Amino acid sequence: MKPCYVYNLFLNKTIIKHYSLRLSVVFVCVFFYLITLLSVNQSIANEFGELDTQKYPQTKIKKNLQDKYYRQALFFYFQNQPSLALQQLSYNKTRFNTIDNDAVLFEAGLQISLGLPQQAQQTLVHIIEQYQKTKIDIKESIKSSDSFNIENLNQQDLLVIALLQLAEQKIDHGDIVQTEQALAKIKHLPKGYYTQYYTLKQLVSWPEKPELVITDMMSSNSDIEREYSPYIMLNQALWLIQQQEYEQAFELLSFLKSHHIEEKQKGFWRSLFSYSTNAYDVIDSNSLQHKDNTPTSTSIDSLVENRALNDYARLLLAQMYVVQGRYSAAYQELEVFPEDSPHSEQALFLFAYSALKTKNYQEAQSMFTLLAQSFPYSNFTWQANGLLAYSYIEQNKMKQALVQYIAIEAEYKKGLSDLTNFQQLFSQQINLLQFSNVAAQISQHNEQTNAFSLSSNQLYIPKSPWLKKALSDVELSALYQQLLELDFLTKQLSQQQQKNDWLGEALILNKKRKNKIINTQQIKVHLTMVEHLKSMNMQLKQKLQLSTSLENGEVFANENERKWLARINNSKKNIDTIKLHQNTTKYNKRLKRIKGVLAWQLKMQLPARQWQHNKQLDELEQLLQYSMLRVDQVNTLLTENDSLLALEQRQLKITQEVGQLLESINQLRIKTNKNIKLKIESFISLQQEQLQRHILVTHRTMAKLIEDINKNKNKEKIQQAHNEKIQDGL
Amino acid sequence: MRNFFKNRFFVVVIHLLLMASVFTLAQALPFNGSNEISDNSLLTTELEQLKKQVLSLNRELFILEEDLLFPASTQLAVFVSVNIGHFFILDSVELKINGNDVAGFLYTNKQRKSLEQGGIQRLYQGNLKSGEHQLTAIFTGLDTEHRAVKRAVNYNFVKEDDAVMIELKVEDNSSKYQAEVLVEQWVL
Repeated sequence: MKPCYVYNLFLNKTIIKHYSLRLSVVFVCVFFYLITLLSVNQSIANEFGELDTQKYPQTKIKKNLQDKYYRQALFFYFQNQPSLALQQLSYNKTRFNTIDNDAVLFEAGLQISLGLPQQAQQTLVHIIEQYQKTKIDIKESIKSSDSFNIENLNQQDLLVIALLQLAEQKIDHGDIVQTEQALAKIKHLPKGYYTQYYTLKQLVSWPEKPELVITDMMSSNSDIEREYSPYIMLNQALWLIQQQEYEQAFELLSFLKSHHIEEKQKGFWRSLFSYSTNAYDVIDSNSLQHKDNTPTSTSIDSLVENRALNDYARLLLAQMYVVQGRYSAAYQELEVFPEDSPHSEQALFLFAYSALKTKNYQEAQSMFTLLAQSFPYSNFTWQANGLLAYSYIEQNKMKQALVQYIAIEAEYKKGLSDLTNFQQLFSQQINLLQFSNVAAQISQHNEQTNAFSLSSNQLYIPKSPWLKKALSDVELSALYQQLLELDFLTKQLSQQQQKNDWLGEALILNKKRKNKIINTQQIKVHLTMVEHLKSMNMQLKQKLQLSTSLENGEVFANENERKWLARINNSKKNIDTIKLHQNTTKYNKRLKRIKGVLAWQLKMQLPARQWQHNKQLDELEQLLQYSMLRVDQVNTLLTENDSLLALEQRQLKITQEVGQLLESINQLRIKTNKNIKLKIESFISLQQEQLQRHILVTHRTMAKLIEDINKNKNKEKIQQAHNEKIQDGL
Repeated sequence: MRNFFKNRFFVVVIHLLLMASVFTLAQALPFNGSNEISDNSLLTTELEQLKKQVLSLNRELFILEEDLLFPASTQLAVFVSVNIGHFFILDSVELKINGNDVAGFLYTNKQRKSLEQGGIQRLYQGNLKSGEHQLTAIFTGLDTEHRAVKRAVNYNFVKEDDAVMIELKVEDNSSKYQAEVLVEQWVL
């Protein structure tokens, strides 16, 4: 047979004799067609053949998906990426419509650390309401993975933590009433939270002494905690000082100035809600030493905290002595005060003042000079200047005192002139963050910023000493931080806008690709082909049914058998040709025998071959149905616009939102700038007023001093004249 | 005399008017910070609102990106978790799908500890067509004796219309004193 005969067989219905060959050709065509179709539509379920799931054992275990996603948030949190952790929780809420209670509390902690206190408040209030609605069983434990290294707290403990945090939030905003209400709801305290609770109680009750309502403390642990909590003791000391009960305050402060705070390992929840500078370094929160024995950040924090507490107690003690007039005690107390303490400015002033009062003039003078050198713009320095000059007066060194006062007056006037320059420069500044060649913008926390960061990790530290002094005002510092945050948010939004634009382009490309496929009419071609193949299949089925009913084995003959049949036919023809000239009985007999044998062979194989062809036709039919399904699916995908349209709308909505947010940020930046300028103006006025007052006092003192000097001179002259007279008389 | 008093009266009235105007002006331009404080807290509230909106926007953008680039019908995500991590100190992981390298990750100390503390890392997110696939993961790390060790796993799965999420769990086996890698396919 020629190769083209196969093709002719496929198309020409009138010469169809070789049924099985045609079937195999159809099969091959359908197979290649499927491969083509699959490349057009990738989202096709595999229905080819019977899928044996037993062959692929799958560990599909039903697990709490929320727990899995929550742990993804924890993964970010433990790496000092609270923004990403909060982002993950936000995503979880959108995907699952709800999150577990422990995830909600975790969210509140993250919101606090990222400067979203109102959000945190709402979350905490929500948790509290949830807990109060459901029946709380003390033995009930929260859902947590076995591999968690997080303290397992029961729901009641978590409620207490939420209430304590809410109380802290409220008191930060000065809302005493709500703080009291939050604290009143606490009926029991878990281990390690007594200090926080009692300290809040102290703050709320100030200036009264707090009354503890809770009696269900954890017996001995709470007693130890109560007894040795330094912050509670410090607040008590302050209260006693206010009540002028100095003896008891003295005892507490004497203990505190040398007390060493025990390094405590913070649990997960304590670290989450901690306000310390290294609050995010939670990896080390449960360890106090690295493996190479270097101290961890928690350990270092603890040392710094300890020192600060000791220094503050010592300073309070010295102040108490000064108030009581016990200057030598104050002097001795501050003699060993460390130089690098955050309270060194006040301590230095107080020490110098005590030295002056105990008539250690030289020491007082050197200390006042040191104060002026170390903190030239400090209010303490301005007072110290006056005291330094006064110390000369005390020593009857009038001329030196006068010289000192002249120098001080020049300093004050220079200060005024500096202030005026600063005022002029500042008022002209448009971008306030660029003022005064920023000295540094140091990273406050260890968090690396990323596309989803919500807070800037920088501090604003200007070079201008006046601005540095102004930034000691908490509100102004907060306003500058706000400016930094706004700048940071602007950058973040720009990045998000770029990403959104990129997604918009991806959508456009998708649309183009889809339209291209539609325009090439490929689907119609596929549809036609499938229909055609289906009709062919139907015809083949009919023929098979017919041959089955006729029990005609010849239609299922293979190649050899077809050759034999052809040979038999040829032989029959030849016999018919020579029949007239010869006796063909023998030949007919032989032919009949061969034909019979072949017919018997074909008949024996008929059932098997019938079944095989039926099966193949059934498989073909399935394949064609599957193909039809695919074509329908692809057609649906290409013609329906909903999914891409929905994505487009979302993308446009995000573009609009970004624009609105940028505008809002700009407005807020203008307001913040205005507020900062007002505050700086107010600060400058105050400083000018103080300097002028100092100049006035200096002038008055100088006038009196000059008067005294002149008086002394006159006295000396009179005395000298008197002495001369006496000598002359003699 | 009359003129004298008239003038005096006039002067007094003007002084009173001046004082009144100064007083009114002072009221309009307060020097103390009481109004500023309320302004500042309003600003703080506004900033917080902005942050909340930015967070919401970030979330929407993230979900849009996921829906567009990794639709559920083709999405495959692979996660890594560590249970305890005493017998195997994780250093790196390589991921292959059907023999092709698709992801690799080198762990810092912090990342490893995050996993040991219970975090789950999304190692890979990609697209896969329907059908049978094979996932191969090779974990490299150190054992308790600080010797280099590798742990590998092969996993066959079928991709259908839903997203496929596979978690590779490096778990300590106390009975064998070593770690093994288990595969868990999440049921969505």
